[in-house]
Amino acid sequence: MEYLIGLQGRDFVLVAADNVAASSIIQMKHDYDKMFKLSEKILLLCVGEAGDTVQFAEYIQKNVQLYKMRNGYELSPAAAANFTRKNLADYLRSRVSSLPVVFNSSPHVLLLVVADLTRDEAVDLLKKCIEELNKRFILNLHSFTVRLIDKEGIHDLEKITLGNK
Amino acid sequence: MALQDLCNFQDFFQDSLTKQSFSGTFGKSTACNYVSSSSFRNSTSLFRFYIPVAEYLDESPIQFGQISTVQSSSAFSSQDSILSSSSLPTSLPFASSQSVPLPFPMSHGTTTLAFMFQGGVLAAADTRSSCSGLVACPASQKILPIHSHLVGTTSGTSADCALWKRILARELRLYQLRNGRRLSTRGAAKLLSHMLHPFKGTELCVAATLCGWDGGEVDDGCHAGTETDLRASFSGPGLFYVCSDGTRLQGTLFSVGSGSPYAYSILDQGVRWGLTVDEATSIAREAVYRATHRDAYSGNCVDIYHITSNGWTRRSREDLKEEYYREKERKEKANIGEYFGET
Repeated sequence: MEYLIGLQGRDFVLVAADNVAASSIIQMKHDYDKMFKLSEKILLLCVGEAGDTVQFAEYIQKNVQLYKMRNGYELSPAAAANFTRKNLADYLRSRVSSLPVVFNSSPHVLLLVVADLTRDEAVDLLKKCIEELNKRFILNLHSFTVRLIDKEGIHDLEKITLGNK
Repeated sequence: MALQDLCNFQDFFQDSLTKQSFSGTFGKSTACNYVSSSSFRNSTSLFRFYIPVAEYLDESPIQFGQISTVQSSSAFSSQDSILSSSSLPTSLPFASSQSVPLPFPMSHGTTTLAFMFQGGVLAAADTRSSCSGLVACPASQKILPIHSHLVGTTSGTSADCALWKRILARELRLYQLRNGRRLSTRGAAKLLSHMLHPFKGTELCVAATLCGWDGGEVDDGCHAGTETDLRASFSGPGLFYVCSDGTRLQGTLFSVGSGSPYAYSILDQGVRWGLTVDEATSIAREAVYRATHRDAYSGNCVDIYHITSNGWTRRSREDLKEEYYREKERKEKANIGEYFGET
């Protein structure tokens, strides 16, 4: 089970995802990155069924890059989201018997009203969310990759790691 | 030219490219009469990553799940030896959408492990092939060499693993011939993952770790040196886990199979980067030994392969029951020692 969260602030977006790659009950990797960089300013965070996430995310990633190569400018986030959604919808509708890609309804995110957050407030809020997760969620999610996107691009922030429960 | 007919190159590359790359390597074209009759290089070639469609299944001469004597005997024999039959997959058995009864019940019991350390990559596995409670083969080979610098451990269905390893070996060799260098371990993992993707949701079960050493090879002179120098700068060990459900992970330690929890318990406390080769071998051996002791589906012997920049080397197969008796003796001696008050 996995965890993703995104917070939108005044002029930035803060996203975080856990770092566990699991195979049934075994954690195979503790430092797995679930974020896919679509372009200089767009990140795709993807969780769900094992191979489908990577295949789908890489497909979207390559197509966004192809668009940039063909046209000389990048897709806007809204356009990229539309493209992703259309592909996902088509994919879901094409296979009736099984749904290969699932947008996981992860442990519920305590999203307060995010009006005008500054960067520090957003990071604090994120830390609070993760603490709450650690208190209530049955799985031990140890560390989280955190990235911030603003008009300058994508910045890696410090990984949030939790001590043992 | 013969190879062009064999591999349907006209479909993939432009004419000019094929002529350039092969005029050097093949001086004469040999007449291969059998090529035209075999159908294994038609539109179902793997490079197209063919997605199975229902129409194809109706026409397929070999229907998946139908038990013919040839099919069942080859499935059994592939469990205890590397698939050495001369028939390449003429038509890959795509599963139909309805569930088809399997010829025999499958179970996926094994212990395989692989880890990276300063001396390269070490891969170890047990040798028991089980088939729902029956030990079908006590001396199977679960670590299959793919080429001189890449081995793959296999877990899941033995027949599937053996087949897909051979297919991977073929594709890697083709890549090497076309591009003048070996494909990296990461590339091989991606290739295997993409080849297995169309079978997701079917009964195919392959969970492999690819352990290899990249780079460090001399250009063979057929291709311009500048391109390859710029591109392949990474050289060193590589370890990837590829599963038929689509997972592809890079890491430094993996253990796969029903005995993997037991193996992890030994590996997680012992494996560090700074191990010597002997220490690493003994940890791997111990991990497989403990897993075979506790897991019913793992047992018999242990195989250990060590991959370095010079290629892979294989330690001779060791029967673990000897180790079990040695340990029992040691315990008895220790008990007797305590009883008689020795220090």
